[in-house]
Amino acid sequence: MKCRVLVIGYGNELRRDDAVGPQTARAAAQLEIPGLRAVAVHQLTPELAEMLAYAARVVFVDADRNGDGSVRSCPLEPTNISSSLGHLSDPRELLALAEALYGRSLNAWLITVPAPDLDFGEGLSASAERGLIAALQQIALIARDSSTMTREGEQCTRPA
Amino acid sequence: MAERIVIDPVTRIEGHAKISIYLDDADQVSDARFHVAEFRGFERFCVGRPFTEMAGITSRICGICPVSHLIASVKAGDQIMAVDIPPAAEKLRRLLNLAQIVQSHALSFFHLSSPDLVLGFDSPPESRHIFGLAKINPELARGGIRLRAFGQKIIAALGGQRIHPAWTTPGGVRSALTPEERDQIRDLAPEARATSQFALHLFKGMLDKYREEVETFGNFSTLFLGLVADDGSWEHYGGRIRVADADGKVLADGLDPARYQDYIGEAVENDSYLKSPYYLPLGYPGGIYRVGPLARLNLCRQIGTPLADRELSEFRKRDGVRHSSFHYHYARLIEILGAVERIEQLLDDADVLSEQHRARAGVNRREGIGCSEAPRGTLFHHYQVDQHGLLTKVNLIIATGQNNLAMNRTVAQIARHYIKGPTIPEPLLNRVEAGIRAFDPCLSCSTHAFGAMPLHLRLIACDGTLLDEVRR
Repeated sequence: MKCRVLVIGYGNELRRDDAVGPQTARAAAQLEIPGLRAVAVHQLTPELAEMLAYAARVVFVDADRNGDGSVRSCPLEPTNISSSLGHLSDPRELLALAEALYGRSLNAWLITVPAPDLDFGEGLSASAERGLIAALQQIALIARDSSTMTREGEQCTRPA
Repeated sequence: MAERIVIDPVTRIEGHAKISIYLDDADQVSDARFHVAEFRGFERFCVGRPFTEMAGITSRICGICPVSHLIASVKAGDQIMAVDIPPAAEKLRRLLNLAQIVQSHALSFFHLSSPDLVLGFDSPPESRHIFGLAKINPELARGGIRLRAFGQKIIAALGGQRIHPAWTTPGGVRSALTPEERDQIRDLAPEARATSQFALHLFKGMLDKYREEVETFGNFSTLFLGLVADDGSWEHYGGRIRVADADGKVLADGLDPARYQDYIGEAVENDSYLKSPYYLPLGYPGGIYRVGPLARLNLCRQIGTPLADRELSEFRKRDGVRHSSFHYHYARLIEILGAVERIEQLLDDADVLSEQHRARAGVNRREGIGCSEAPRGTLFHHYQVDQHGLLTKVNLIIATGQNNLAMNRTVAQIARHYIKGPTIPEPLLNRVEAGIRAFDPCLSCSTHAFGAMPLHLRLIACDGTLLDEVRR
């Protein structure tokens, strides 16, 4: 299924703030942005490469336990770092796989959301809740500008 | 001088392991050990939990084969509740397990092992992976990804998610397929079937190239153990246990899986968290047996679907195919084809849409043993509960553990073939890993290990001196 913007939120939904990726993806799907498709997954798997092949640009959303407390949005380049296990730990690997298998080089971003609480359980911390809202704003920005933005020259951004 | 070679850890398997190869005073390989040095302890920390939670808990053992644990767990739960589950529930569980076999085997062959087979065991390790495969044979790589996606789509349709679906429950399943989901899966089945046939054709064409590996990758006589149906056909969910020797002679048949303790012993070695089950009547370690795809094909009379049975017939005409663990790959591909055919058959059964899919009951027995065929082999979940259904004892017998003795012998056989002195030759490094990978071991399941790291192989003299070392 073709789409203009593909949002992939990933993380373990039983480790509190690690769920912010999937929850952001579900919330993005509710934004009703034309051409936006969002999927929430436990982890990145090679099967997602085919989905990337049908997208114009892709936004990954992940939890970040080591950041400086702000939501960050960074452009991504494909990287061959595979150890060929059943799942991939780095979205750049998935981009490389899509390029290798389907000849698709697409604009991609990784949005990382602060995740101070990765304990067992469900429910986001206040910090991750705020981050989710900011991440949605970033996604909306990327989706809105998707017809004109290019990866070249773009910088990591932080919402105000 | 007696010496020891250590490969630590082994890559492209699920989990983390180390291999030691022991040399005698004449620099000849005397033994090999496949160590699993991490522990997760599900059998201990599940004690005290309600048996109804076990499907959800034990499916977290592994992200690759959670369905296998779901199935074995709820079958144990069925016994504790003393219920016969509705026919629709059994068919839906079968559908789920077949999908699991497809997706797990596809991962094993296309993602983990085909880089070795297509690119060659001695090709550079930095390119011997799915990306390297995509450059050489993109059709195979794409097909493998779509084949795995086919299995996962069924799992997601039934269980609500691809990984850790909490859909099976003691007494049955939580929901049936919708007509739309059934039709979507049915539309994808022909491509899945064609991909498995394509891979089989490719693999058979490579066999002459890998005669040396066929000869040395776990090519020996052992027993085989697994489930077969009442008519002797290939089985993955129900049936009873059959044990046969390497020449096909059936030693025991119609064994009740619930009485596994009568014929399976569980040895423990002090250098590994991986248990070493053995066939009890022959003792330890003489009761070495193999489980999994090769065992299932060696044990069954037929698969029961036309295309897979044609492949099984051809498989059996090849010399020595029963013995070599290299042919786990071959057997795995035939099982994918058979599983896809069986999925298509099940989709034509109206029961997969039935709403009569769950029996409800409380604790009516204090003990339950669930058994099914996971992709890697026979899986047992054994629970004992108190009057409230809280677990007082848990024992899990995992496929990879049952292949432990055979994996040790495989490493020793490969090492004997390639080691000619107190150094680590490059072909050994590649082939020891590949020999282990033929079994598709899942250490996350068998010991509940976690993680994977670069390869580290060390050659150590009996006095502790490091003679040689390779890092990858």
